[in-house]
Amino acid sequence: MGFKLGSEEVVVNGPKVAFKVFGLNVTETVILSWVVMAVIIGLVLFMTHNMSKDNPSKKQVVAEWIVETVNGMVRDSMGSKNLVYAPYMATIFSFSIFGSLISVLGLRPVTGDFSTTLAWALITFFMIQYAKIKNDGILGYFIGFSKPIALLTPINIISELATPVSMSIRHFGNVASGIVITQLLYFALTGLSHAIGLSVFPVFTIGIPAVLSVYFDLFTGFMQAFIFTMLTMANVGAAYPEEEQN
Amino acid sequence: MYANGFLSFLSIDYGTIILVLINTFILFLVIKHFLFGRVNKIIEERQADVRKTYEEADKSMVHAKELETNYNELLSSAKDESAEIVKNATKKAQVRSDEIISNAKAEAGSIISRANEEIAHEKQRAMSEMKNEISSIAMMMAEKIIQKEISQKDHEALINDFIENVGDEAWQQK
Amino acid sequence: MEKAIVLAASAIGAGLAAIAGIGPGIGEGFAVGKACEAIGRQPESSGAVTRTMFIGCAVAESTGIYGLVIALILLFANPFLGKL
Repeated sequence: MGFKLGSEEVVVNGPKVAFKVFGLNVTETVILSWVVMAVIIGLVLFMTHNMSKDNPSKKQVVAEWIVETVNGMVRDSMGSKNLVYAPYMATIFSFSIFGSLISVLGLRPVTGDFSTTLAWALITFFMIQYAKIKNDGILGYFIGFSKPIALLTPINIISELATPVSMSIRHFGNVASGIVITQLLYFALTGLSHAIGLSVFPVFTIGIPAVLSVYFDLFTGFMQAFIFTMLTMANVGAAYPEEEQN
Repeated sequence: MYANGFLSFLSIDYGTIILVLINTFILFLVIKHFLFGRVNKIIEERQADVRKTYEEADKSMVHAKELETNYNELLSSAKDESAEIVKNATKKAQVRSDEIISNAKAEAGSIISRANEEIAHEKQRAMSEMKNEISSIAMMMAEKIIQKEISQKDHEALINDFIENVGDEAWQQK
Repeated sequence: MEKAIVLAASAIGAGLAAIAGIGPGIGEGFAVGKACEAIGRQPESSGAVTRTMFIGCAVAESTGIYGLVIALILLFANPFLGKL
């Protein structure tokens, strides 16, 4: 779908399907997520290469700082018994940040695809359910839906399902609005350049989109990665009983 | 859902979801193993190191405490000893000074007695000299007085008698 | 003709959906103001206040984002055009 402006059309598309494997669409998103993964894995291997106990290098200090920070955040919001979740939180955080920041290079952000954020939100959803079943038992888990009164069961189920939906839509919406606005603005500036007779060289498209991209790519990217991770931690941590924390 | 090979803007694509899940899982394994595993291992090693260092420090602290008490004991015994030494030295010095004083007293006594002796001796000598003098004077006088009457022999006997009397106390008392 | 009507209605609907931005705007402004007050009162806890405020803002923003997504659906992935 798109808008028409003169002979040109603004097209805001979803990700392009590159090829198909076993009937599954391998889209731009997936290919870019492989790039992001390669970057993250490269960084991780670079940072943790040749670590020494007594004489840490700068990259090792950075790696230790990352691990300590994530561990501290998980400890704060989920209790020190749930430190096993820390690597997953770091994974989601780094994947989300690099997936959003890739748009600085002019590529389509990985997180600007609803399927990506929905996949992550589904992981969160199943983590929450797993934590609840683990703590209450299967029976207690199903009884938990009819609390405080049996009448509220459908509402409880809906609120349970709303968590992944709201998380995924929040992340996707923030990044996607950035894509749409940047694209519309780019189109509008091109049109403006045409209007004053600079059709060969669209002068307005040089500086202005970069300023916006600082907000939409950098700020929103960091913010949404942080919020998605924090909400995952808070929701999964809330599934554990209070006294088990600390 | 498809337009020129593009998915629509807000599409839910099962292939993407499954592949993203797989990607996330792979990335999770890598981060868990290579970042967290390695860093946590290093941190644990460092903690063990720190713990060991603390233990060693505690150990050396105990050792130092022991040494300190030993030193304190030594120090107090040394103080006693030094006090003893000072006392002994004082006593010795007292004895020595007493000795020196008594020696000096004795010496002074001997010097005084010797001086007294010398005085007596001198007195004796002066007395005998005086005697000789007086005897010669007396002789000269007597010669002058009784030149011819008395013989030399009588003379001498007389004078000697006189002088003998002069030397005595009887003379001195006059 | 039918398509034009649907498109016009969708555009109006998208514009109306954007009204959903009012609520989060007021709410977030309120939250940020309160956070500023809290930081002014206790500057030493600014880190925790800021973190909590961002999470609260993110939750408050949800409704606005829902409106935005509906607007985007109406504009770029219109489900009604397929029903014509």
